[in-house]
Amino acid sequence: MTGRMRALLVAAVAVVLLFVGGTAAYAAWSRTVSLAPGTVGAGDFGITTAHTLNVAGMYPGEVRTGVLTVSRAPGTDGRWLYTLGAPTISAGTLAGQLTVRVYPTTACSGAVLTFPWTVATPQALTATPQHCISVTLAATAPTTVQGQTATITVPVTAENRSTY
Amino acid sequence: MRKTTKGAIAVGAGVALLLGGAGTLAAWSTSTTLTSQTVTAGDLNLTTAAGTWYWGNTGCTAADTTKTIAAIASARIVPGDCLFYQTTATVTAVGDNLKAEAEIQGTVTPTGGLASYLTVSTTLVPTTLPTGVTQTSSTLLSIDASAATVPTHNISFTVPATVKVVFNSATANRDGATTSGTIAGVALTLKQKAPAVAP
Repeated sequence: MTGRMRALLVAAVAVVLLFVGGTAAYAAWSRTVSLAPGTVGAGDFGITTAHTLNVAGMYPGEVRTGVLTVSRAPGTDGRWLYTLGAPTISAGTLAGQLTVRVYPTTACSGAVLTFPWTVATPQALTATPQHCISVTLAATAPTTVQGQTATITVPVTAENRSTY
Repeated sequence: MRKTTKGAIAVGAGVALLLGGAGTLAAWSTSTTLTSQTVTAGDLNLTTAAGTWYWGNTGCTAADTTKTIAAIASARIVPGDCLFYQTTATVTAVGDNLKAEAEIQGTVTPTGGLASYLTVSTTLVPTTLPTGVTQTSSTLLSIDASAATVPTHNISFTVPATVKVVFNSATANRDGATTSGTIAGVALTLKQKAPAVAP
């Protein structure tokens, strides 16, 4: 065997040994555990309003009051904000003779709300905030409005907030 | 005397000399028995306890452990909500030269109709780091058992494995309402690192 052949053979053996050694070095312990947090479901969002205001058969100078209640459908999480917009009165001769006021609470006195008005703090899911609404038919209302009708609308909008 | 006779006599003398020489090979000797020793393997183990869901704290930086969600299937989350699923992982690493990494899957993609409104992230951060444990990133711990107490080289510690779920607060209208998203198969892995010196 020549010196060159011997050197090549030694080199080949060395490479084979390196491959074998390298393969063995990658063996390692390992363990994997899967976490299963599960499924989360989204809630829903919607509000309902109700009032006790009865403005049928008003006469000039009369003031009628009622309570507006805002609530949210159950069966979900989350808090909410709501905004009261300026009341509107349907067009007609009676419209100019009616004055609508909305108060911060069920008390029909004190400062009235200026619109748009938004509740300052997020409401709990089950909260049922209430406001007094008063409607006044002007004492100077002409007889021409007698028997006329009008529709009063108080726009209420709501916005979702996180549960906490 | 014939030549053949002389040769036979010479061979016999040689054999006799050799036999005499063999008799001089006797020598002192001694032996001892090695007592067998027990070799014990180290350990590398990872277990998890049952997890719990919590609402997030103000600012959604951590779970508010005073606000447990008893049944996640009954919760109805809304935009802006932040939840944490938290379990305790127990890591054991025993070995004179053992090095390992504990890692929680960093990227988690939920499935279901709610998935596109959810952001899911994970952390693996011990309250206190034991000797031999390094926080490489918020999802990766490097463990070097050789740095643990001699001679046991035993590191055993618990670490909260946390999955954070956020319902995008910018979700408009009623998008995603009444849908659901599944977060499953979040892998928590403990893996031995190749030794620094090949055997």
